[in-house]
Formats: sequence, structure tokens, C-alpha cells
Amino acid sequence: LGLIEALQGAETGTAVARVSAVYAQEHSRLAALGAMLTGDAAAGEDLAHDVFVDALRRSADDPDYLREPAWPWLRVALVRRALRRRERIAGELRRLPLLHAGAAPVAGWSADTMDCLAALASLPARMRACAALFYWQDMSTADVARELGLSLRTVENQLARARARLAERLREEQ
Amino acid sequence: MEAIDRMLRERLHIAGAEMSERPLRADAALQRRSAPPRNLRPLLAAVVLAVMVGGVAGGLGLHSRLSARQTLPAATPPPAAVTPAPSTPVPTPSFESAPFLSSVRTAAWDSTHRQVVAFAPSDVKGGETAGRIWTWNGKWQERSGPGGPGINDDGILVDAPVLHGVVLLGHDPVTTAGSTWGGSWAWDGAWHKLPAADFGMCLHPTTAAWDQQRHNVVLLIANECSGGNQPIPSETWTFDGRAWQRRGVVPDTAYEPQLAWDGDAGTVVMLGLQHGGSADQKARAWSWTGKAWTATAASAIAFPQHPLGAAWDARSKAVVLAAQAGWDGKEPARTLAVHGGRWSEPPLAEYPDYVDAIVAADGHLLAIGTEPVSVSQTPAPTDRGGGYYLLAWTGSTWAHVTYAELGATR
Repeated sequence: LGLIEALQGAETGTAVARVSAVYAQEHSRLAALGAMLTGDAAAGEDLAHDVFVDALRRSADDPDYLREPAWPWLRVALVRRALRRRERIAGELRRLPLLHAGAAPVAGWSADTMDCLAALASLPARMRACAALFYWQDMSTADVARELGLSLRTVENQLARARARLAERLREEQ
Repeated sequence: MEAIDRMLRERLHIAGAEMSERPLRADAALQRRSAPPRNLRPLLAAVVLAVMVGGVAGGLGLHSRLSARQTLPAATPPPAAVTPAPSTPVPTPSFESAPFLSSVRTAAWDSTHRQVVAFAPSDVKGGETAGRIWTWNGKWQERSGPGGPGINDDGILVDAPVLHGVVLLGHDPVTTAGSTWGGSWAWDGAWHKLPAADFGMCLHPTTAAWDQQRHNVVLLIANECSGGNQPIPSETWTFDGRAWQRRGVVPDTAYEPQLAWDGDAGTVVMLGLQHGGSADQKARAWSWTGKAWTATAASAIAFPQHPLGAAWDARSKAVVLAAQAGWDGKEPARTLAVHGGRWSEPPLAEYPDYVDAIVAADGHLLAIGTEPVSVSQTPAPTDRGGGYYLLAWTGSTWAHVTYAELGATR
């Protein structure tokens, strides 16, 4: 079954119902983070979708798999999935028109939001992840390093470059 | 810097909130209900198969994934048809700003044609993804043409006279949906695909230098798989224009080592942070013997937080390492010199706040960066605009440079 169908058919008290509840609460935020990490709204949606499919499958084996708070697990799963090269190719290929042809309105998002997304899309994937986690998720550089499996200095280096490029890009847009 | 951080944090928070409140899902979930249900296993299998077999199967895999989204609102507009820029010189004032803005990721000196070559990793031209390239021999000129590397956002350029031009070093190529991602290429006025190095998953080149004595490119490759639980050590490889050779794991270095040709020692050197010295984080240099790295004596100078690149500086007879200001604003931009394994740090008067690329250019350390600002202005003012320029390290500061000046101190 597809994810939506599986979640909709969940019986109360089951592991699927728990995933369904988490989905209702966190899916939008997770898709937004996915969009920031990929620079592409549809790719972000895909990533969030796949994370929940994974959560569903794992919860079927271990009903207590998805514990509260669920957000840190979801975030880590999404970040790692986003940065796996082979899985991000499709998204990267698709983000290029966004990057170079200008941002198109998506789901009623404002021009400012699309500018942010396009600016993030202009960064290499790892740099983009550092920026999204630091600036939007308010994580410390040490936490970003832990989450991404990078050294603290590498994260700071990536952030220093991201800061310069994002500031310039967003200044251009204004 | 705090002002920039505040601005970025605020803008991403607003964007994130809007994206969370008005997600695609509102449309997508409804669309999915009427669309065939997606099951993870065939989806993943298609993607994995597509990547593994590449080419036609790749295209099928990607298209099957994308076709599931065709009913969703378009996240991206169709690629605009972009006419390839003609190779027309840009009118040149005395110090011309580069015809690109913050899009170049890597640049190198092309000793065969005696010019700077700059590369932007990806662009869309006529619906095709392609890298863009510019040269500078006193003036900037776009040289992008048909073919060549596609998306290559981690690629690095290095001089390769053995191939009569420069080489773009990228991670192992992956082809899907007819587009190639990564791979290594030679550019001698036109692009030529190089044989794959087979670095392996997660590894990509991070720094390279042309070994003038052994006539090959020495490069380091490092783990790029973020989120991995087991860091993969960096490796040293060489490329002689025909074949790649793995030369072993990089010893004891830690943070972003930089390679450069040392004209005095007649070999490539590696400048890095001595591993295990997190308390003092001292700089160290290693010499390349052709087969292994030999460490020189440890220095008393702290390795900079954010090294950008290094080059042989004929004027000071030293390898010079440029670094940008520290992330937290506490460490200023720095420039260190290494001569015979001994480190020094000449006082720095001005520095480019934003640097796109560092170029080791025939006895000069060059930067493609913004107009230099005084060190006393650290952190640099945030509200200045302006373009990117070719700047040269003078021994005490960064300054605009002419092509004649580059040739004068060969």
C-alpha cells in the first residue's frame, strides 16, 4: 500500500497509528526541511515521504521504534537520506532550473520564501545541510557536526562559506 | 557577521514557517489518493538499479520516480532555453570585475595557455545541465561550449600541462536520465572526458597540485558522505594524464589539508593541522616523495580555522597559505608562509572578505574574491556590493593584479 493509504487505515493503539499521529504532526515541517536540504519543494516532499515509509516499516518490526520526541529521529533520517549521493541525484538535477531560471511560486509560497529556497539551492549539498540546520533548526555548530558526522571545523568552514554566499544571494534578491 | 547571521536566521525561519504551514502535502496527499499508490520497495529498487547500471536504465528509474509526481504542482519551471554565450571578450577597465558573481567554485592556472581558468559547477543551457568556464589573460572571457561536465559542484581544477590545459577532478561519475554527475575532465579549450578513477563511494577530491618534477597531478580525496558513522580517512592519489594511482592513506593530518607546489624544495607539499593536537592545533607541513608524505618539524603557529588554498610564491620563496576569517569572527583572515618546513605569519593589511577560489599561478598566490578590506575592519562591513576580482598576494596584502604583473615575476 502507499503511505497515505497505510496511515489512513491504522487501527487505534497500533504502531501504525503512532506513526500516523507523528505524520500528522511533523510531516509538514519535515517536508519543509527536506525542501531546504534539497533546494526543491517536490524533492523535499519525496524525502519526507520516504522517511515516513521507513518509519512505518521499522515500526512494523518494532512497535516502539518511533519514540517521542520523534522529531530528532525524523530529522536525522531525512538529513542522511538527503545527503546520500545516489538518492539526491534526482533532486539535484531537478533543482537546477529553479536555481538558474528563477524561483517559481509553489503551493502559494511567497517570493521571499522562494528566494530563500533558490539561495539554498545554489549551495553544494553538504553546505546547504549545514546552513539549514544551523539557521533554521537553530542547532549549534557542535550539534550540526554530530548530526552530519562531520568535524566541528568542517561544519564551521561550510557555514562560513554558506553565510557569504547566502548573504550575497539574498542581498541580490532584495 | 552577527548581523548577517541574524538576517539569515530570520529569513530561513520565516521561509520554514511558511513552508510548514502551507506545505505541498495539502495538494500532494490529495493527488496521491487518486494516483497509483507508491510502494517503497520497487521505488528504491528502481533508483538503485538506475544508478548502478546508469544510462538507459538510469533514465527509466528516474523517470518512473518523476512520473509519480507529474500530477503535483510544478516545483520548478521548465528550463529556460539559454543561448550559449559567445566567446567574446568582456570590455576591460583597468581592474575588471569578473563576469560571474559568486558562482565559481574552483579555479586554476593553465600554464600551457598562461591563463586563469575558472569553473562554475552547473548551469542550465537549452535544458541541458552543463558546467560553465571562464578564462582570464588580462580580461575575462566566457569559454563555455557544448559538451563537458554537467553537475560537478565538488570538482576542483588543477593545472595539468601533460594534457595541455587544466583538469577538473570530480568524484566517480554517475549517469542517470542521460545526465552525468561528477567525473573528471580535461579542458584545453574544449572538454575531454577522462577515465574514471574509481575512488569509491563517498570519496571526492579536495585539493590538488601539479607535481612539476614527476609530471603528474597529486590529489587528496576525502569522505563526502555526511552522516556516516565511520569517517573514511583521506587518501593520496596521482594522475599522470592517462592513469590514476592510489598512493595510500594520508598520514596524521586532520583538517582540510592543502596541497601546493614548493618551488624551493622541488616537490609538492601538504599543509595541514597536526592530528591529535586539538589543544593547540599547530600547523604542519609534509613533503611528497612521489610515494609517501614526509613530515617536517612541528610549528608553533596555529593552523587557520578555514584554509582556502596554497601556492608557491616566487617573490618570498615560500609556499603561502590563505585562510578566510573564522566562523565566529574571532579569528581574522590570515596568510601563512612556509619555507623549508618553517612557518611564519606575515602581518596582513587587507584581505578579500569573500573568496570564490584560490589559484596557484606560476609563482603567485591569486584569489578570486571581493574588493579587499582592511583587517582593522574585521568583521567586514556587510552592506557593500561590488563584484569579484582577481587579486594577488603581495607579501603583506591582497591587491588587484594585471596580466603584465603576473608575467613580470616569473
